Amino acid sequence: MNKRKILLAEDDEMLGSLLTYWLEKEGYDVALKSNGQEVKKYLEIEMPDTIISDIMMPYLSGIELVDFVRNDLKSNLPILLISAASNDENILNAFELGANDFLSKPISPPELLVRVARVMNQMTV
Amino acid sequence: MTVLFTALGGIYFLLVFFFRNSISFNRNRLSRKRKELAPIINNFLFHNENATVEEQKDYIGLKISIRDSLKKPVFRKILSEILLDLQKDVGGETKKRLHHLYLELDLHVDAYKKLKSWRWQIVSQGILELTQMQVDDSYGFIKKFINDKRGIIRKQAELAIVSLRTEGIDYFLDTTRYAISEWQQLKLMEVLRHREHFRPPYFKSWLISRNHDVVLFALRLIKYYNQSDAAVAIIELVKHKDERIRAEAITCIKEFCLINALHLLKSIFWKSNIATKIEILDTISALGTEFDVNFLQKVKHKEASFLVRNKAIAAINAILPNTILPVHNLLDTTKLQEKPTAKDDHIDIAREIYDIGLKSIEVTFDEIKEIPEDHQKNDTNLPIGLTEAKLEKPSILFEIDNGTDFKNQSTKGAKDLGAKDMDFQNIYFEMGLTEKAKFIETFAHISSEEDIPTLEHIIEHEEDAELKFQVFKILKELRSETLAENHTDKETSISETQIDPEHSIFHALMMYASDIDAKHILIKEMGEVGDEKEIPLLDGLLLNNNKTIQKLAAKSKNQILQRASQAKPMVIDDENTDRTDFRPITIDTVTQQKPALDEKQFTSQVSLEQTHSDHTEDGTTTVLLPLELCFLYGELGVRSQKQEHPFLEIDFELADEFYKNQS
Repeated sequence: MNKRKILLAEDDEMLGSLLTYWLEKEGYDVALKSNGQEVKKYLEIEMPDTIISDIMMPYLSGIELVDFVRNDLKSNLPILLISAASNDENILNAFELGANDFLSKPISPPELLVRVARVMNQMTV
Repeated sequence: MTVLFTALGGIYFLLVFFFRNSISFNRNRLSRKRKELAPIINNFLFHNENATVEEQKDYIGLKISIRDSLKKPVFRKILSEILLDLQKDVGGETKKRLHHLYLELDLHVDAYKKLKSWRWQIVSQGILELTQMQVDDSYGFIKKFINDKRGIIRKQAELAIVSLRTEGIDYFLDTTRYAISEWQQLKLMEVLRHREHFRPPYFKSWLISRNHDVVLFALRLIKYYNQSDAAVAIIELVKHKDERIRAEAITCIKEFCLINALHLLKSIFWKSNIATKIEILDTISALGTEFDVNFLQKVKHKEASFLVRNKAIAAINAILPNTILPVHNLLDTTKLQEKPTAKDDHIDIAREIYDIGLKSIEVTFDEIKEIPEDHQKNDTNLPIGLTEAKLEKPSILFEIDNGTDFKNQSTKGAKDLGAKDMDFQNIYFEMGLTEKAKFIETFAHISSEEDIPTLEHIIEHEEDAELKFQVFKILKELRSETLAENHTDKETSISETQIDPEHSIFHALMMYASDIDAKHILIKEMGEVGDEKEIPLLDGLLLNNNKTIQKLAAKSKNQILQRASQAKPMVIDDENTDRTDFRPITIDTVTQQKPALDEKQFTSQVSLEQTHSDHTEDGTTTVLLPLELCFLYGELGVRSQKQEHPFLEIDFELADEFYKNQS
């Protein structure tokens, strides 16, 4: 059985590593990218099942990533955003552009797993 | 010089290059270390004792390798930084494991060492690390810094002890001797808010602290945790010399709806600054009742600050909605009003009737027919009732079509009774008994003090005793209202300057009166047993929306004033007295005009009144004579002979009944 692919865009190595550890432990295939350029390059080659992205990222913010995926790639793959600053305007903007879910830091890894599973199931249905 | 400056420039660029590279190198090294340590930390964090044998072996190997690395201070520093960064981004169980790992690796020992540093920033960093990693044992070390003279360390220590243990807030409030800034208070409250299973202590214990900031902070915490058991202490703090505490106590009063503090708030109002005054008015507007309107009116008139005055007006409107309406810069609607056309005269007439309060008069078609023919012929003087012809042709009912209303026509002063007023009086005396009765009933609703001369004229000339009595009642009410207005507006009376409504024993009873009937009874009782202390309260009630309460209040006030005047008779100087002022009807004023009763009857009344007479300097006798008695005695034919007859105790209600039966 093929593992489901998750693209994790997180510039903090430690947090990225921790989330990767959790997601892999849960059975996902995780591609960790630390900036927007890497994310774009990855998306041009391969399409994951879900994207988990930090809003505050170098070169390409999480909101720009949503815009890129929805408008440039014309894809409706589930996108889950995470951010330390729960700025209402940012969140609303992200949802308007087509983000599927939002999670604010500090992140509880079990909660992240539940949310990832949920957005994936929604897309499957 | 050129060589020197070139050399200095070179050195400068070299230094910039060196430091830039150094920072970049350190960052890269940290990044590399992070990448190296990330899987190790993950392994440590999520190690499960029930893991497979291979996993257990890996875990033990990692432990051995990291133990060697931990001997190097640089490694320890990097590891501490990584864990501190990570704990900000993760929550729940992961965060707890992270704290546990920090202790397990003995990284907290480095933080303890930092506490001993002489440099404030190092000490502060040590406190921060221990707080973030929730090292409970560090509480004892950190609390020593609560009264440190170095502000940053002190503030960090405050946050630490509040964060580390539940009793931290108690210790902090007990021992701190320094000011607590507003920002620090917010941060402390934020820490308390995020504490799990936090049971707040009773903060009222710190309302007696000598540290004003502790009192202030305690008040805010009381408000935040809704500790209304501190009500008494909060009310006391309204008297505090510190304006900040006073203002905070007032907000608590508003928050906890401590209505018994309103009196105190009013008493400190004039000694407070503008911010506190606004706070007080805000509280009164939220908790006040109609009894507080007098005070607000006083503020509105006397306060110099525009902001405070505005707030007082807002408070009045909050308590009694629409009491004060816009009056300035309004268009003159009388000029804008279109003149009625012949076509819709009947509509205008009906509207006018409604406006002036004649809607209570039910004019039926049959009644219209009953109007004598001679009335119908006289177009301009038809008093009441509308003929069919009138509906077609305007100029009926007190010349409404001429743009003057009934009230203006009928209510000029006696001094300047014009031709129209005389016409009106002629109209009145041409009416039948039923029409007159209806007219008087309507007049009771719309009359004002300007109508007093007209009413006096009717009393003089009306032959029917019942109607005369009804008119007298209206006159009496008008006089009492006039007196009430004089008390509130004109002179600085006792009721406003010296006695507050709260001084009345009925004040509290009125506040807690459960229904309108109870209030009615209380107001009547005030009239029966009250004295001058009740007058401000009754003045307040005169502004009540409920008309029955207004009437009862006016009646009770009149009773009290009558009692007071009997105790100390009033000497009226007719020349100097304003017509609008209240003055009792005297035998002079009645006898100078045409008496309704014959002189013999009046003489008998005068004999009764001798004990209540007063002699003025010019020798004329001013005798107080209740007109009700004139009418009653005249109608009944009763003549009292003895002075000791307690006529003042006569129940006038009986007279009402008598007249009802008679009609």
